[in-house]
Amino acid sequence: MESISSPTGMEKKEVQIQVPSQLPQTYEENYLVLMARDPYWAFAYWEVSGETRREIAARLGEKFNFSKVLLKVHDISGKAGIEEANWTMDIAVEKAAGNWYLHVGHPNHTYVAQLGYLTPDGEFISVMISNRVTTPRDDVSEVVDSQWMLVEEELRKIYGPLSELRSASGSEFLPHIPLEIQRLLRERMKGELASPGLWGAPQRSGGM
Amino acid sequence: MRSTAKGYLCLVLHAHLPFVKHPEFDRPLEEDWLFEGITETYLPLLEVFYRLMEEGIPFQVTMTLSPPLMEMFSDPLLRARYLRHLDDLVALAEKEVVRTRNDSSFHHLALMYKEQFLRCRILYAEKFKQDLVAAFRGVAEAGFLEIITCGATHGYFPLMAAEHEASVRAQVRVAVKNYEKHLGRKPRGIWLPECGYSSGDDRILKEEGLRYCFLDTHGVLYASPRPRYGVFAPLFCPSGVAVFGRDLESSKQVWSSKEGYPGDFDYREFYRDVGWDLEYDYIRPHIHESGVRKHVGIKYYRITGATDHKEPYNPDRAREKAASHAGNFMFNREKQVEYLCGLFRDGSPSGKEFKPIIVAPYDAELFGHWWFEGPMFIDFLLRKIHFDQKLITTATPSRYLEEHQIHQISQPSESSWGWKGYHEVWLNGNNDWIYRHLHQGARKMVEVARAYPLAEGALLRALNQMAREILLAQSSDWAFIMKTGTVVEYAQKRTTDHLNRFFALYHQVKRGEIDGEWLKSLESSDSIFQEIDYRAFA
Repeated sequence: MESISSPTGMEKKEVQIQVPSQLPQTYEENYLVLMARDPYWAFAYWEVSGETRREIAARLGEKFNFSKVLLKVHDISGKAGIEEANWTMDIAVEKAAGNWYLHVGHPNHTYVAQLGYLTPDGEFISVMISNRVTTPRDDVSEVVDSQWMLVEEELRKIYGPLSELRSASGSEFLPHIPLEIQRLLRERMKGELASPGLWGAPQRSGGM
Repeated sequence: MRSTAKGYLCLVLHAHLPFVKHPEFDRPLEEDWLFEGITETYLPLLEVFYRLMEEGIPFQVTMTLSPPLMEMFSDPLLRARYLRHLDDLVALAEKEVVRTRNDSSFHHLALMYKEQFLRCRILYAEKFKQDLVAAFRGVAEAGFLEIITCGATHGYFPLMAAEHEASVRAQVRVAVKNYEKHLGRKPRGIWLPECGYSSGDDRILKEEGLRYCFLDTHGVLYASPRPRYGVFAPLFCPSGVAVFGRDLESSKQVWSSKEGYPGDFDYREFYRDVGWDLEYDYIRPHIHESGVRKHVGIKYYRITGATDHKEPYNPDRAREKAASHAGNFMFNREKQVEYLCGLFRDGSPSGKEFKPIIVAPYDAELFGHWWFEGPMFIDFLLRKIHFDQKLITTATPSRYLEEHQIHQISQPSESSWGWKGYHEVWLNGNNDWIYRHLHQGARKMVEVARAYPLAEGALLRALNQMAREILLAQSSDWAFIMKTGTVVEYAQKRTTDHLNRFFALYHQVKRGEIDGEWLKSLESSDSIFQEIDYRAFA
């Protein structure tokens, strides 16, 4: 039984609502969800239901207690599925963990996560596979549209600085606007230029 | 639209506050967010718009009125509470006029606030008859303002990982329907909450009848194929929805913490408020009834400098600054347009003369609440653009798209306008715990929406309330507050409460035992979107 109590300590009227004040600790379902946070990082969260854990424990017997929980991240960019993965990264996660930040490292790549148990003798028991996720781009596209193709000189004026952001490509840049845009974009990505804080917040975040 | 103009300024004000309404409490602090917004931002902006209209000065501004904001503007309880709040402010200002009567540094400021609050009262109660939606609609119907919609509860689309399409569709569909309820027609554009875009979401916008949205700079610059004009022309997504990209230079002039106009030393200091400064017994009746001090909105100092020592505010000097900043802003836009026109003087592949559009979006609350002189700045800017030059004109996306119909087709890049440009503000160690629950809720909402396509009676009401609760839990505001660490407990509680109410309703629906009394109490407190149809999630 929860009575609505105000977080800011004001007078309350009696309203009783029959809902718990905490969210469920577990949903007793199997799920593994992958989310891209930015061009380089992803976040995975999961739950293995008690029932599934018991099934696997029964199957593995004594070995279960010595097994590790393994989170595999497959780079499947341009591929149909994990069987053809470009590469796979294995992360031994703590048994009690329910989420993990993953440094996948590559913008505009497609990833799938897989969770399972690794037995002491090296057998991998897959429990589930996540949704697929593509990390955002962090640079201008290499694809140029033929109808709207940029004259090379114009391209440098608008985009030169952006490509320099990633690697010094050696091309000469026009000094005024492009450098300014380059600087602005750098500040932008460092978070110095963003949307401001929420209303009522004592500190302005990001923006000002 | 003046044909002589060589380019356009698209000024976008994004007005949104989360739905905060607590009938169970007498004076919840969080309802002040709305009241401060009305006094400091929405009424001053309306005053600027109506004054310009009355003087016959044309302008084009684009503004989001988020669905929760329109719902709060229209709520009878919140309207009554706003009037009470305003009366308290007037009473305090009158006390201040007396208290400062022998103090020449502050007396004129106390009078200024008294006059401002009385004007707010006249505007709110008499001129606009407590109906701010109608007030904005009046500016829109006169052809000066384009009102766009937003996600239903400002949910952050890119992180709706489970049932992504159904969740985003529901946010958009409920918003469009709510826009129609309040404004009597369909919206043409949408402000994606936090400019959060993930590939393919434009298709959902298209299917719900929206023609355009805005992205942050890199969302457009990193589009593929490479955009020929950078952010200075919209792109068409493969779905046909137009995306407009934020211009960095104009953003920076206003947003930057270091060089932005609002930090000018002559402008009013936000953090020196009489709610904190004055003697406790004197201010006690005007702060929170629990005795907790709070900002009351009367502030007597100017920023002065990077120092704790603050000088009294000088309204005349601040006004001159606002005028000069407006002039500077306009001058820089003219230079930008000249430069871009020179760069692309050979015309565009569409065969038409290239006319750049500079998209300058801001949180509406920046103007007036944070930056006290902001509405004045907008007033000066719109006047100057009309009277002082011919190179640029203001335009809304709809007007621009009427005149310029051919654009490059390109796939925008996933992005947001938050810190670092992607999703980290809403996905980090302070708030990542919410997603397993939000996603579980989304799955269950889709499940019941599909399982009961023809609900009636109590079941219909329960399903509609479930839709309200999951939408309220999805507000990006809660994750944002958890990240910024301001009123974290409140944000956690709102997330938890809406989800728990949702799950409890889910179990009642599944068991066929709906608690009618409890449902009724939820319908009156979480009363947003009375017109909702839970099938938006099907």
